[in-house]
Amino acid sequence: MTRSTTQAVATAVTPGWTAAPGQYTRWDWRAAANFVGGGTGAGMLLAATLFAPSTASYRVQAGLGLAIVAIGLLCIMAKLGRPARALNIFRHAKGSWMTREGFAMPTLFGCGALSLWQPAIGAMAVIATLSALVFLYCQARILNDAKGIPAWSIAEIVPLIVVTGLAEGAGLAVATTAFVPDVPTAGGIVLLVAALVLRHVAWRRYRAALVRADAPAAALAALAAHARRWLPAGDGLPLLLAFAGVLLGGTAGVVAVAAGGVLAALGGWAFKVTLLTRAGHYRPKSVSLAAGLARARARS
Amino acid sequence: MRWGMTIDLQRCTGCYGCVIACKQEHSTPSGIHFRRMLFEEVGEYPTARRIHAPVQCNHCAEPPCVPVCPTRATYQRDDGLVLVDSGQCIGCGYCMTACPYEHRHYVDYAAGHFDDCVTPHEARGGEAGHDWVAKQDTVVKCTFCEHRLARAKGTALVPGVDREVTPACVNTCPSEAMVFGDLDDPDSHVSRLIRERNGFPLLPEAGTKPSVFYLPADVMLDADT
Ligand code: SF4
Ligand code: SF4
Repeated sequence: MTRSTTQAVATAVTPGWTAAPGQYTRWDWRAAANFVGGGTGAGMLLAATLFAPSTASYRVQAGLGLAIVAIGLLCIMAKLGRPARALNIFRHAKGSWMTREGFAMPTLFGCGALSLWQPAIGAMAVIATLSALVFLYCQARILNDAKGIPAWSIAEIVPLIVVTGLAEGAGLAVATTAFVPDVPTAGGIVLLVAALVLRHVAWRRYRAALVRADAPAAALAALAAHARRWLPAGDGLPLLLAFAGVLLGGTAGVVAVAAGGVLAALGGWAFKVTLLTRAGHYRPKSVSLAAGLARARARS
Repeated sequence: MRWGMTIDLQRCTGCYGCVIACKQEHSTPSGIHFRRMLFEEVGEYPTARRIHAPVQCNHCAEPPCVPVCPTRATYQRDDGLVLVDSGQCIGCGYCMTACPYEHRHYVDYAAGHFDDCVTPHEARGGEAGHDWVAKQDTVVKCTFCEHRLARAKGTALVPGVDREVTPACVNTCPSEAMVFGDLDDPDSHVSRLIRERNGFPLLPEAGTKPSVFYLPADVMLDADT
């Protein structure tokens, strides 16, 4: 038997304790919802502020973006052991990305809400968008600091989480134009296409880095299953629909782009649910005991 | 001053004495063990063997669980102990994702082990006097028996030497596999053991600089077969 196939044995005294990589399950779909909310909301605010076809469209996109961030936060509040102490999260700005994420909220929601009542897209929208991007970046760094869990803490997670959020938000933003009704701007479609391409590049780099880092096999398998289902439907198809929409033009074009946008958002959400609820495996600990013994013996 | 521990794998028989002593000292809720026994199978039939080691929070010198905590409930003392202020903890579980050793525990259920009563020992929170009801829905971990270390203050008692001020797991070990002491003192018993016996920490690649070191045992590994 090789070192990589070393098997761990749980004991009766410590049920569930095994030296093989365990899965972290305390962060469930509610935690995933917070990451969905932060990413989609930031992407929608960015798309709305830069490329909304009209002030009416801006209000729909930004309003929806703010609501999605808020829903994500409510979900994570429901997961806190002691929600009554939630304000304690502001105590560690020097070290914790969770605290920093919290500090992005007042300007995100305050300026975001004010921007909905402005006659034109202006400073309030810009401040809210910048806050949302900071919020999203903090979420990426929260995962990056989860040092016990390779699929979350690997450095390549940061760009992946950021561009995934932008793709989700840009997708939903163009989709809303079909309901306002309005026509997506060229800028909005370019943002969606660019975010999708970047998401695909970031995904490939992330997967390659995880394999190189010898991440737990169960986490790799969960991510591979996600890729099989969602890379064609969440990245490829939205790109095709976006191009088809541009070529078709008119109502059919708007519908095609909107459908592509929805799929792009769904692909991102599915990834986050997989990442948080199925790929959160700890580092393998078992390797260390025998490896430590072998190293110590080699030194003596 | 940095408290640390050595665990001699040559002496440890895997008797679970320390696991039970810890449970007794802290009266941890059902399902929570600050100290556990890690088993690993090496080799294959007919020379397959099990190697084992007691494991617990390593009170890392560079603990990834400390910076992530948004409430500063998790903190590191000057003497190296990594502790949780349960009065501040919001139970977000973030620190649990940061510890590569899985040595942080969420208190889901603080009631006793029996359906019909809470034993006096449980009501007292063990010798450590934990208020487990107050700690419900927060994250807890091994304290290196800081309540025992605290008793040394203002006395001539020395942790690691005098039983009253030494962690319960160290006291109970029938084969004296554990030594507790100051890692910053190059002449302390622990420092000498680590030096002379090639003590090693678990998962050094995680960069956490643990304060718990293992002294190698004379066991057959895969390379020997
Ligand atoms: S072993 Fe885990 S809980 Fe203990 S100090 Fe290290 S990182 Fe923190
Ligand atoms: S669960 Fe408690 S100790 Fe852990 S990071 Fe959250 S607030 Fe800090």
